[in-house]
Amino acid sequence: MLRAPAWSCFRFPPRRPRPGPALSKPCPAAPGGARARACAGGGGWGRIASEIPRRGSCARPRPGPQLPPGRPGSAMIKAILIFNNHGKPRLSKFYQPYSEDTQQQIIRETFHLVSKRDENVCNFLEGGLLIGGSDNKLIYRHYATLYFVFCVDSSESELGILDLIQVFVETLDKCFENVCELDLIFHVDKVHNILAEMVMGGMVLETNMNEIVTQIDAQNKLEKSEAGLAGAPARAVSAVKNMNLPEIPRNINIGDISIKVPNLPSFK
Amino acid sequence: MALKMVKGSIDRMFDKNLQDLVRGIRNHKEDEILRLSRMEGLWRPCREHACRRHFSNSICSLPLCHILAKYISQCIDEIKQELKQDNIAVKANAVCKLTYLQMLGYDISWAAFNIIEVMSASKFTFKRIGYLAASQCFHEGTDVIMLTTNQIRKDLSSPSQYDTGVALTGLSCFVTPDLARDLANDIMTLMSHTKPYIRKKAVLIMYKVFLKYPESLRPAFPRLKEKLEDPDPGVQSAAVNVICELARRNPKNYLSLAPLFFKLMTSSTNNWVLIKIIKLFGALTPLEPRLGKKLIEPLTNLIHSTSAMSLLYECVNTVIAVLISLSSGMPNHSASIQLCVQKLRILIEDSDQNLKYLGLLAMSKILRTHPKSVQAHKDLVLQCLDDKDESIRLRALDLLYGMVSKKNLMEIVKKLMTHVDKAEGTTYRDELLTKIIDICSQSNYQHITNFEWYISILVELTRLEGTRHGHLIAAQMLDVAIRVKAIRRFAVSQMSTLLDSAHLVASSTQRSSICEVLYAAAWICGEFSEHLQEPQQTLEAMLRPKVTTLPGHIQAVYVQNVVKLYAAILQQKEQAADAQAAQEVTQLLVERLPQFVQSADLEAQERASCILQLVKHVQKLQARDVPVAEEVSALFAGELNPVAPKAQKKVPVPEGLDLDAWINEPLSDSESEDEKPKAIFHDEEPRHAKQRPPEADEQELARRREARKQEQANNPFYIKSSPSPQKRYQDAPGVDHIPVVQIDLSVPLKVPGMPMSDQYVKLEEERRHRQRLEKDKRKRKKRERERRGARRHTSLHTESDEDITPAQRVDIVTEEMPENALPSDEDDKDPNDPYRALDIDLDKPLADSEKLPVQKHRDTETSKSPERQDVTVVEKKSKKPKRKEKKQKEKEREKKKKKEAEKGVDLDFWLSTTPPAATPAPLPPGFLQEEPGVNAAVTAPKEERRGEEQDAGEDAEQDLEKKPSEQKKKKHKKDKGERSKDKKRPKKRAPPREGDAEPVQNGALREEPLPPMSSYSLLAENSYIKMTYDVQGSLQKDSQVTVSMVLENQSSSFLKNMELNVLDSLNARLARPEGSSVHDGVPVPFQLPPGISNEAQFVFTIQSIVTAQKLKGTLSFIAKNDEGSTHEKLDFKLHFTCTSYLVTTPCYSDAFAKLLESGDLSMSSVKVDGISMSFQNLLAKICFHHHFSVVERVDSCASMYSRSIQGHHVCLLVKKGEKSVSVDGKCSDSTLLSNVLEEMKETLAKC
Repeated sequence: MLRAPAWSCFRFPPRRPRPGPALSKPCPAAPGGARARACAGGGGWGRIASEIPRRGSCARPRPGPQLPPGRPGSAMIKAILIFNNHGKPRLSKFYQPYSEDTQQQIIRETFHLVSKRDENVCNFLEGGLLIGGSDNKLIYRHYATLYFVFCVDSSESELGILDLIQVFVETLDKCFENVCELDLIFHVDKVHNILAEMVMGGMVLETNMNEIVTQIDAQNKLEKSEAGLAGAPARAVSAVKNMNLPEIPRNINIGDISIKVPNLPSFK
Repeated sequence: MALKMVKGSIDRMFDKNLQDLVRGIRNHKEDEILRLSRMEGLWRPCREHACRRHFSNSICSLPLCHILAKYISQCIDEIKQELKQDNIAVKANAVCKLTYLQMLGYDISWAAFNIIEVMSASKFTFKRIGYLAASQCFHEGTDVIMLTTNQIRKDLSSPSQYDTGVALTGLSCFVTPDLARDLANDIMTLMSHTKPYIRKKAVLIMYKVFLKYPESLRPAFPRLKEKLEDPDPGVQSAAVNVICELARRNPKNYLSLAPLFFKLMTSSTNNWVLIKIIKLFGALTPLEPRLGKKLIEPLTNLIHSTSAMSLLYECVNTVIAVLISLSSGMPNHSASIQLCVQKLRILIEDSDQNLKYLGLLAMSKILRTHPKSVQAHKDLVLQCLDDKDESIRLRALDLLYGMVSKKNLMEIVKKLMTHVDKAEGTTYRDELLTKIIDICSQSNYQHITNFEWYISILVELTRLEGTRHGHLIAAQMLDVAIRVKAIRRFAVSQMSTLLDSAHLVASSTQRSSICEVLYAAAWICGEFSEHLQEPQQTLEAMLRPKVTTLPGHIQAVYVQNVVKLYAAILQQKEQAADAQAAQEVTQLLVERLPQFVQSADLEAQERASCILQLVKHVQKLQARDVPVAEEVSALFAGELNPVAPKAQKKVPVPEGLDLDAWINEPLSDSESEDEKPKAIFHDEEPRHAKQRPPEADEQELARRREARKQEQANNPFYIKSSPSPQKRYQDAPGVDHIPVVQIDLSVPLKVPGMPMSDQYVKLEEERRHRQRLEKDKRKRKKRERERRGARRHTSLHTESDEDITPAQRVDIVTEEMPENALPSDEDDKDPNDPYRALDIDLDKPLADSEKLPVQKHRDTETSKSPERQDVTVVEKKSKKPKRKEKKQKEKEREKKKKKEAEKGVDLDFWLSTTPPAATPAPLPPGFLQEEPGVNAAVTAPKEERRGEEQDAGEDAEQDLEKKPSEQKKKKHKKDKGERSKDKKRPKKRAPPREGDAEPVQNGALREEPLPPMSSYSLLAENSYIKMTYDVQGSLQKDSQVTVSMVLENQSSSFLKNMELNVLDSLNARLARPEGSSVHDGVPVPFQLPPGISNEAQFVFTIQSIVTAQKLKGTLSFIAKNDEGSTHEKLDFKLHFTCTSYLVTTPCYSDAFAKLLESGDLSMSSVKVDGISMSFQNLLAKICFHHHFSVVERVDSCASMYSRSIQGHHVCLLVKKGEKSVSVDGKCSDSTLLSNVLEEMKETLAKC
């Protein structure tokens, strides 16, 4: 289970034990056909959050009084990137304006720097030339198939950002229930929304996971209530799409309204 | 109907949504790529096609690219169709897909308008999609962004907290200066929202708003400060965040918050807030060493007690910062340093790589000030050098820099060289290379005892493959060869070998950078050709056909140095009377030079053809048996000296040379006016050079040389003429027989199988050993002589750095600087720093004019004039940006000055006596006391702020003068603060107004503590009330002046219903509320209890300002006491001096000179005798009382400038002689000038 590293300055709330497949195995039991199918399509599927942080120190008992959960003070986060082991971007958030080309270059460069590092080295990296220059650091964590990279400036507390990444991943895990790379692939908008509750304009907004999850849940509820009548069929269709039925009815007839179901080659 | 709606939504649900798009792309891309890549092997990014991020074969495999590009362009077409529909849900879906494509690198700015449409949807679901897309792709250049202002404002005031939240989040990503200005007020309101969710977001976004719209900082700051004590921890931490970030950029403005933060630090249990605050203190301590002293104790306690590593680490960091700031004043904090180093060692030894990294990082900070304590851990650092983690190795390398000494340099570099060989990856190897060079060359090659060793290290480094730092090695070679004369012979021999094996260095194209060393090699061989053993051979090496493949600039250097060599050879041959050989050399050149004449590089070509002609000419002469060697070598006579890189900049402008004057009158073209170049010194340089006489004559040169020698002799940093400690040691009586071992270079060093530099290490060790033995012997003898049979001296390695004598007589020639160079080091400030705009004083009370713009109808006037409560004169909004800027500038200047006064009192008070009001943890009693000596030691490092005060055009000299003066002033203020603390707090001064302040920037100069100056003069007084007043003009309104009147109740009665009336003259009128007649008085907006004073302001309209005038007036009031109330009156005479119409306006010397030249100013002058005041104070007095600012000051002569409210320029030249001062004035109005001068004379006469 997840545990905060020993240098962590805030405590994670107790986690419920979670049944599920072992980490880094594919997820055969994942709900929904889409997930299983997409797995075959070549994306990553290792469970992200279930991987225990690799620091050896995490097993060390923590002496002294436990401090209440806090919020990292932040200076400036320049960019937050998530990409997979092959360098495919899964989320990119830049808090400084860059052109699309530069953004792609930055992602590529960052991937290049991060991917060639061993597993047991420190999580800080200098030398990103494109973003910011010498004042900036890359602070990253590698979970299963994904790299979470924060590019921050020198005034940032390095260990604090590492904790922040951990909170981010745990929050994703809570919101998606057993988060895996596919969740990030197909719901990048939701990931953005979660991130927006944590980091705003390059500054840390909130690090208390319960608080973040509460706000996200409330927003989702609001969204559902807005969808109302129209939302139900849409949800149904998306469920249908995800089911990958071999045969989808070509025509739906409801009274005098006839709906033609388009060919769905892309659903295949 | 309902069914139709359902149909609509059912139709829509078959539109492709985000998931379908992702799925489609994956189907078209990843399957294909995986399949194809398995078939075809290696893949590289394809640049040719739109799909930037996809992978194709080395030559783009069109089919694959096509598949994906086609699919995506098809999707984009669909999206475009969807965007055209009216249904907002369809649009939102399309925008959502666009956001995804943006992440893949597609430009979606064409859809900006649609994004705004989706942002303005009523449903939260869609709104969120719109704001997300906007935050991903909008930036300051997006032109439609201004359309969002009203929408965002609407969302900000939405009843749903999530609408507001999403708008704030989005805005934080794309806020522009316009948005910031328009929305600042709305956001500020949100800072007191009932929901903490909104509050924390609003607080956080304020930082972005400040950055874009610095004017909002002061009005918003009080509320931000309030939020530090918000009940919600999230809001509190957001406020800490913002303030810390602000303070990090401009710490000095936030010093006054130190007590508040100190309280938070001692009371907060939130580690994150603590980390932030501790980091902030790290930024503040350099400005206020006393703060550091106060911090050490609680921080040390935290270090001992905390279990959270991150907090521990930040504490250690801040303690280090404190120690650095104290290092000059406080001798004894070794315990704290030891604690830090100890803790860091624990971190470094930890198995967690992250902690190891951070430990090394912090260690390098200690290294800067306390190298000794770090050097003890050399073993640890060297161990980290072998770590498998590159980040850690890099950090360890940083530390090495401070650990080298004369003793261990060779050993350490040797270790690094083995790393260089082993290193994979060019980045790390390059880093090693630069570090080796850094370490060796630091502080003028301080640690190098054997330059031959260093040269051979450099030569070894040239064998590195694919390094990017060829130029660095080349620069080192040149530097050493030029500055260390003794090494030249050796260097030349090494370089000629290098030239000989140039094919190795320049063989592959990969080494394009390393071939830079050939540049150095060629130059050294040419320039110091007299040291060459076999010049002919080197000459031939330089003329090989292969050379033409080198880069152009290197070829050019080759050509030039071929001639130098040639000259040397000619001379040699002619001395040996070997005409035959001489002609052969000439022939060689004539044959080989044409290959350079054909060079593609212009420089090489030009030089080659020149030289070819020269050589041909020489050939002709040689044929006639004319001796030519003398003349050819005369071409290269004289020695080149190293010149400091900044030397050119520091050449002082000679007297009488006006760099801004036109050499030729400019063409009367309107264009030239528009793009007037900014007068930065560098830009003027070429012109400057042109004006110089081309050649100084011989005598002059000789004289200068003599002067330079003189100067060098007096310069402690000039190593050449001042004996180094080692040499002094040698010179000491009785020890001068120690031989300095000279390594004879003719002795072959070629031990097979060993790189050169290693041999030097061995040799060096031997040499030192010999030296040591000898010294021991000597010492022993001495001791034996002293006390025979006593304890023997151990021959253990106890030599200290100073004992090692360098192998060569090292003659490190320092870089030359021009005579009279100005020592200023402030040329590295970036004028474009966005944070500079936030350098705003926050302690000054808010003025009425400082309000955030509130939304109004377009046509209303914003009241931004400094109007007072009692006067309601509406004026037109001045739209001119220039004026606005000027006003802003002035304000800031004023703030700075004001701040010093107030903050000085508050902060000093806190720092010196009182404990923080509510510290839960009992503090040791010692905490409260401040050693008496400290205050005297506070000459706070003000470097930083001064740098910011500096404007580019300002004169460095003036800056120099300001430095000591301001510090003194500060001290003075502090003393005052100290005195006042036992009494009651000083009464608050009247609110400051524009122009009241002394100008700080090219303004008033202060040196000694000035006598307290007040511009308020007595107006009238009776038993009830005392009136003092001051008149100020404002630049915004050209015919108005503001009279500030301080009314002090001197009686025991309560004064009320005060009313002021003035008998208007033709020229001057009191501005009365609208609708009142000229006989009505103006009510004073307050009442005065006994013993209280307050200030009221009245505006007067003046027609002509060239003469002084007086107005009669009356103050009527009701005095009420226990016995009843009486109606009282007080008459007064308001005196409007001409000075009061002047407004302090900064002026740069270039503009000033232009003004004087323009010739349409009339002149007048006065002279005052019997003045004993210092010139500094005199100027300050003029600045203060007469609203002038100093433009330039040279010795006891200063030019000053001011401007009247109606735009008259007033220029003064103030000269101080013995006991007298003369003031020459120029002004666009002669009457005004003579009146001002008269008034000035009066002021001066009082001095």
